[in-house]
Amino acid sequence: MKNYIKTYNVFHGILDKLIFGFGIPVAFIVLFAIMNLKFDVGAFMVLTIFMLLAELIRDYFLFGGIYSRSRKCGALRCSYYGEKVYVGAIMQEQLRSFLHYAILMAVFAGMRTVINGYPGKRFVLVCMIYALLFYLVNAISVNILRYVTNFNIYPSIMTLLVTPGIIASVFIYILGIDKKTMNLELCMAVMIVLAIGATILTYRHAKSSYKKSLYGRDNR
Amino acid sequence: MEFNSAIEGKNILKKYKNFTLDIGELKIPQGFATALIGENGAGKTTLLDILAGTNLEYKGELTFFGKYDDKDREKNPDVKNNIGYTGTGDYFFPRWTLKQVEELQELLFDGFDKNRYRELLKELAIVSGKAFEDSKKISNLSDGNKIKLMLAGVLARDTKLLLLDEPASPLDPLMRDKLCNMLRDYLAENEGEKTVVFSTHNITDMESITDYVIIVEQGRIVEQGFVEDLKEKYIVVKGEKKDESFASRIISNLSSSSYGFEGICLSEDLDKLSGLDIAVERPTLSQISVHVMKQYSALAMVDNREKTA
Repeated sequence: MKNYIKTYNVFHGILDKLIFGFGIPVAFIVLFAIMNLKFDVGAFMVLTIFMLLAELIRDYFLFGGIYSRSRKCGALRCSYYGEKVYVGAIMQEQLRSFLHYAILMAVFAGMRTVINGYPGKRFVLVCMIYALLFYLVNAISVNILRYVTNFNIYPSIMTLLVTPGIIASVFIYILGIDKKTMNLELCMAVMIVLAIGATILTYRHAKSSYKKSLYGRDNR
Repeated sequence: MEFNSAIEGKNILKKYKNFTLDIGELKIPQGFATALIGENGAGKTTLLDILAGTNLEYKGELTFFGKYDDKDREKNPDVKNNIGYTGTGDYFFPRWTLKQVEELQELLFDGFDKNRYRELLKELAIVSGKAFEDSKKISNLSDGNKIKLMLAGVLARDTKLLLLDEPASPLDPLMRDKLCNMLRDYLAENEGEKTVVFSTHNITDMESITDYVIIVEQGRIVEQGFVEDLKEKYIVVKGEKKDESFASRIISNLSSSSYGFEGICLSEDLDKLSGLDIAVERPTLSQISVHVMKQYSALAMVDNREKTA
């Protein structure tokens, strides 16, 4: 028995046990409960969480490791237009990401209205808040995840980064739609400020990471 | 021999934790092919990175094409557009496809000729014209094909200077020969205006294209000059066993066998061997390089310390 446990531990690190062995099953149980209890409006929140995870996995295959020291694209760095192309590509991705969530929310809200009728102003506000919240979580996450070059650890870090966003989205749903106690206008204003802040942060980070790749001290 | 310089450098200093590149004076002759030779870790890649502007953390002065300094290189698109650089490591991101690489180069370089690039891809046997080749990923290319892809990119541009880091290493002998021909053709365009600088360990294969040599060891230039001048400067000496001990006083790094000895010395030292029964030969570039590298390399110093101990 001892050897079985040892063998298990050899192939399963502590992060794997905590995140995939405990965190994710619990998260899915909670999600399952929410979907069952309030499937109606809550469904789009759950689906958007899956979309967020899919977007971050997608980012790995597009920009994975772009900020890391080991991934220096020589073609960009030897060109006069290298910085423009590099920063431009990252900011285009930011814009695409925002439109992706905004359009997704609009489609979900539209479908909900067609199927079950117009649910009211609070529902529309929550949809807009969700678009901004998921864009914000996406923006903050990619700024960290783009340092990761190894896909083995990528999902673990990704899960840690999106968890606060998922918890926030659940609270916004409960307080904003279910209990109707949240000031959604104020929440919307805060989200707009945070989303703009995350966009500026991404721009500055992209510029500085490019400059660092030209000036950064290599170990030798 | 008097020449115009494609690049001139003064007091170039780049410090790493355990290595310093310290080049007092650098002159790359315009219109010729210059080989950067040196052992692993001698500083060749660092020097090429500094010249190409992919590493800006250094001290010193650089002048390009006789009129631009290194600040101009970063501010004036003409300078970088006129320099074609191929490097080691991730030159293109591994997940990019051939199609993406082509589009990227159109964005990055003003004089990029897409049609010429496609011809070069075929000429270098990277593509054969079959369907879906554009979607081939960089990570699926062999090391040799990655180098060929970079070469196709720089040769499809209108440049005045090529900086190539180890272009020959992953190539097969046939492709090395083709590379030499392509570089010769490049130098022949607008004769005297175009310049090639490449680092290499394949000295014998690249000798046919090499006009000028810079040997770098432990971050310093220890020998440089036109190949023909260096072949006059050094001479290969072969002699009998009985003369070996005397000859070893003049010839450093003498190699010995049961029949006799062989080594390289300065031609001006040949008089010191008068009276010995020796034969002399004109050295190859490889022999000169190995001789110089043995004198200055970190590896030779370790060997000497071990012999002394």
